[in-house]
Amino acid sequence: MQFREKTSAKIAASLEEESLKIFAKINEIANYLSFGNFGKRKKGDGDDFWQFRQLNIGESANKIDWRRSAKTNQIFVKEKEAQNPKRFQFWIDARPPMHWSSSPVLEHKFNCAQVLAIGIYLALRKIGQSPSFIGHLGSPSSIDEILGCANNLGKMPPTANKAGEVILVSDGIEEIDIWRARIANIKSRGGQPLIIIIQDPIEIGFDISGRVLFSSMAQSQEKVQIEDCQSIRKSYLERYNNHFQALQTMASEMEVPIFFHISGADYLPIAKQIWQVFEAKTQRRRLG
Amino acid sequence: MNGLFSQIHFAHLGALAALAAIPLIWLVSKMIPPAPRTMALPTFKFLADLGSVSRNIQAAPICLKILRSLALFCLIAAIATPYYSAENGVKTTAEAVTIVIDDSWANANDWAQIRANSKAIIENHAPINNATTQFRLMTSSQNAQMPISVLSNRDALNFIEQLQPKPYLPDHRALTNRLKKLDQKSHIYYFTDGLSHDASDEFIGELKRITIGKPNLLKPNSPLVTLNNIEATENGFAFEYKSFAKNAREKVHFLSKDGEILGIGQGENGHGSLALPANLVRKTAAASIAGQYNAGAHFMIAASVLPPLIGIEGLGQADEPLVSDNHYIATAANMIGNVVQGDVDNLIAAKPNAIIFGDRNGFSPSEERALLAYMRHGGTIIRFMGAHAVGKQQDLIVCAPLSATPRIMASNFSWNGAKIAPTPPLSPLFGVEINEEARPRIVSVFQNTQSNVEIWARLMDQTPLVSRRAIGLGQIVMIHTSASPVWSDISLYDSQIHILRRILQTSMANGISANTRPPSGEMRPILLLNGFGEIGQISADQKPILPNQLVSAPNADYPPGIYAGNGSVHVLQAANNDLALRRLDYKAQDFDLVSGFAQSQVDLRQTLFFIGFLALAVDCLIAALGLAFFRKSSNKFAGMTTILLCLFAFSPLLVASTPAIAQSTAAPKASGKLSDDDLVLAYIITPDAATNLAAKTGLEGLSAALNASTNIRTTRIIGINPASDEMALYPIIYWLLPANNRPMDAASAAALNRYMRSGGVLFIDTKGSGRERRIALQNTQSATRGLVLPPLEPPPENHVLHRSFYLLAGFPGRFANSNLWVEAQNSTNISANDGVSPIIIGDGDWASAWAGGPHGRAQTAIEGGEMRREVAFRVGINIYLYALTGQYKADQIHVRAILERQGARKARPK
Repeated sequence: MQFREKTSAKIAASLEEESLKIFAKINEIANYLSFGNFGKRKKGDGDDFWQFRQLNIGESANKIDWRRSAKTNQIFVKEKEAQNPKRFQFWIDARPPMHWSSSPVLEHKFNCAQVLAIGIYLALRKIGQSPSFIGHLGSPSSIDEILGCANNLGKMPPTANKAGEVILVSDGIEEIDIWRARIANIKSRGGQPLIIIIQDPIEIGFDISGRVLFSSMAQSQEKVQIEDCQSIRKSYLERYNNHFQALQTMASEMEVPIFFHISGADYLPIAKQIWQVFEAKTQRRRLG
Repeated sequence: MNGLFSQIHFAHLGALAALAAIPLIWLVSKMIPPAPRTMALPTFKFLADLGSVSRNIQAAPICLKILRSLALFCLIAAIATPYYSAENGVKTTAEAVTIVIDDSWANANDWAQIRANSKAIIENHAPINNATTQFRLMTSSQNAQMPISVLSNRDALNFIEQLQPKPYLPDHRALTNRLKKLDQKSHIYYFTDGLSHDASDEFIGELKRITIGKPNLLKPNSPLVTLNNIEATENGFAFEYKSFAKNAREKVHFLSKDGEILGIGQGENGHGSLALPANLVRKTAAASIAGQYNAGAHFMIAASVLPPLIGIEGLGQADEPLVSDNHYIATAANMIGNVVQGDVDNLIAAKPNAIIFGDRNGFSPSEERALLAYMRHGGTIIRFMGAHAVGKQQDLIVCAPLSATPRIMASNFSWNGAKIAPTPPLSPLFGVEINEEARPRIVSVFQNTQSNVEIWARLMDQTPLVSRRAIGLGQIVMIHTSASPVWSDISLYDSQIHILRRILQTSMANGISANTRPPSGEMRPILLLNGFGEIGQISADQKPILPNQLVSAPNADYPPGIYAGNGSVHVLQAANNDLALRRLDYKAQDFDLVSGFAQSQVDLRQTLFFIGFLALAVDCLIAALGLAFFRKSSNKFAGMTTILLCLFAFSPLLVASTPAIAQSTAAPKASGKLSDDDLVLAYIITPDAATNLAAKTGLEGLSAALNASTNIRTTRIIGINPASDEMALYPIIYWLLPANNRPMDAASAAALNRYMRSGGVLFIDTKGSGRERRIALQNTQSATRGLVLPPLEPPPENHVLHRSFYLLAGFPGRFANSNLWVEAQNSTNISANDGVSPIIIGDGDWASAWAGGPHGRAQTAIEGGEMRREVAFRVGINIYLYALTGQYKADQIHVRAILERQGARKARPK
């Protein structure tokens, strides 16, 4: 009994350590992103008060705030804070192949996806957006809460029920046709998809040698024995690259931005790229 | 063919059952790669149809299978220990075997054969790996009280391997007494020396009592010849020898001290002679019979039996020869030895044993210098007195200053006083025949008595007649009367010749023969023979011959050789004139005469192992070549693995063929490359870095001092960890204890103990003088916990540490009151390491004193300043020299120089 308590305490401690690491990474991403100009609060058409300013010549008299103007000899206009109508929806792929890493020192692809997605999610919250996870109502604000709901995600199909940005985080191994249908579906509902592909170094480089018995992570549990992995490396890499080439082609055809992240690499560059895409879209809309 | 196979036997027949496994080779003989790793892969779908690459498991070709079967067969067969035996049916007897060997010099000629035969007997009775036969090995030299132990075949072979012939004859009585205690019957093999000794019959009777069947007798093949006597004759040597052969002609080699053959004498019927020039006669040190390799055929010739070379002054044209001293001296000298004549310088140049001067009026200063030098280097001067000599004042070539007026004995009232008194036993002249009538009439007398003058002969009234004083290695002997009848009528009798002869004997090396004059003290061996007649080692515990126990025949306590001391010399010959060679009449006894044994068994193990490993090596080579041929570019390590496999298979061959290489590659880790000439100063690394630095800088300073002052050349300073580093390369290891020393671990303690046991010196510096006494004590105790330390004492005054390089009164270090302890002189294992103490413990913090070197400035405050520091360096040099040279400076040869130095030092005012 005592042993079990000790063991569970140990496991809890190690888990805590793990999650602390994840928290740190997430916070790093969130802080890094929220420092930019994008998403700064500004005047707009919201409900909340923003500021009083003097009436400019030529402005409609309807805008005058009489209560404020009556206190002085000047005429004031009451401005409201802009309320962003933008919606951000996150989806994380949770199929079994996502829960895998090629080496114990590397994080699972699913964890990478979580860190990246939650980091961006928190950054969005910091700038006053209210992003959400597909399949979860509401917009949780604390990391604990987010992790709790993020773990249950991915079981829902990535179908946006509202307009706005839909961020899809996956390993991208599924067939191109599945992806094509997925994106078409989102777009038909007014969503603007963005794909983040998480890759493992072994998948990209296939740096394996010797005799290896490979097993599939699908339900079929298929197996294949390769006598000399180096001898088939070339063919494998050809197929792998072809697949992702096709995925990228499909994405550009459908005007969907696509990003690749290799597990173990720094999150910030990729997060920044994604953030810039959001910024550009906002500016484009403003200009538009 | 059939016969050949029937003579092959196996010691472990059961091991052959493993041959049943050989057919497995045909099934297993494939190149099977290791089991694959398993791995889940998300991108599995890209591998879908790539798994069809064929498995490279190949059946080995038939030649490889045959080769492997051969290797396996050879190895299994080798493990079964096959041997070829010429005899059908080996005598694998569990019965006991007793081998008795007469290990005297009489068997030395055939020693190699005896050894080979005894080994063959042991191997025939106990086949390979069969250790059930009990062996008893007895030699005739063994002590009568020695128990008869039972040996295994291996121990018996070792015993035979180490057995050497003894330089004395067998003691069959002792053997008989030992055999009487033995009741168990056994096969008897007796290696006789062919001689009948005391109690030989009784001994053979005992052999017959315990034998199974007839006792086997093995007699020597070479005929034995002994050289029994050699005498110096007028023109060379005459010799006598003994052998069983009739009309035996033998050659006798006369040898110098260095083994050079000076002449070869031909002998017939036991006698012979050799004509040899006088100068070669005096160089002769030994003789031996050609073709004989035993102590009995080797005869040592003591210098005292050889005619001396006597120098006398050139004969002037004496008008009256019968009253001239030189006439009488020359007559006597010619009767005693060989004479050389000339002036003083020529005489000294001829290096005579002695120079005899008649009455002469002193010497010129240059002659005096030359003569004193001659005596200091071992020469003897004999002077007769006379009117001229007495008249000379300030004469240096005398025992003591002489009175200007001689004593006249031949007055009417002093007849009795002039008579020569009997010589005392301690005098070298003891026993010399002196004619009753021989009386000196006038004798010279000393001005006063001198303590350093020995009186060898006196007149009845105690007036000295012959006096002697040692000068350097030589001596001056004065005969206080004239050589001619002017002062004395001794010269008219042969007494003068006897006296001169005896005095000349003392002038020869080592002294007077103990047979001529009873020795006055113990005589220690200066040369010993072994059983082969070669010059052997003189062991430290060799007993001296005591004056009252003059041995005439060698035995276990007194091997043949030359014993000398206290002015006497005794030559103990292995076969002297009294030795009677009696042949053992074995024909009358009921013996099985065995001529010899051939080694009837051949061990086939090594051959089979060789073939087996060779086959494996070839197999590896073929596999490697095959692999290399089919190798994919990805198989980076396959080639390396194969080479390693090949090396592994070849390794037994490599090890067997080049043991030297194997040894040389086992270089110690810490030392790196060290040549034999390098002295590396080592110190023990402690947990305290400051202490390590102090030890290192201290040793650097000492190293500079050693290089500057001594012949030792040090190369570098090295810190070692006793637990992990090999310490055998360092003659002395310095260990400076840190302030709060922790006890060392067991591995380090064991390594240090091993180091000290195997001849190393551990020098522990506790730095205790500079610390509080209680703390220093605790610190030392904790450091030495786990070390096996002998009893310790401060070095006594005669300890070599006081004089191993510098002469030191004490051992100060940084502090004046420093102490040093070494192994106590009464310790039981003091002689284990050449008498060098395995441990030296001091508290002087020498490292601090040494730091900076002898020419640099002190790096710490030294009590007593630079003077003390210089002494601390001397202490260090003495300690290191002591570790390197051991008891060398304890050798007596240094005593004179050391005493002189000490005397000079004591005389010098402080």
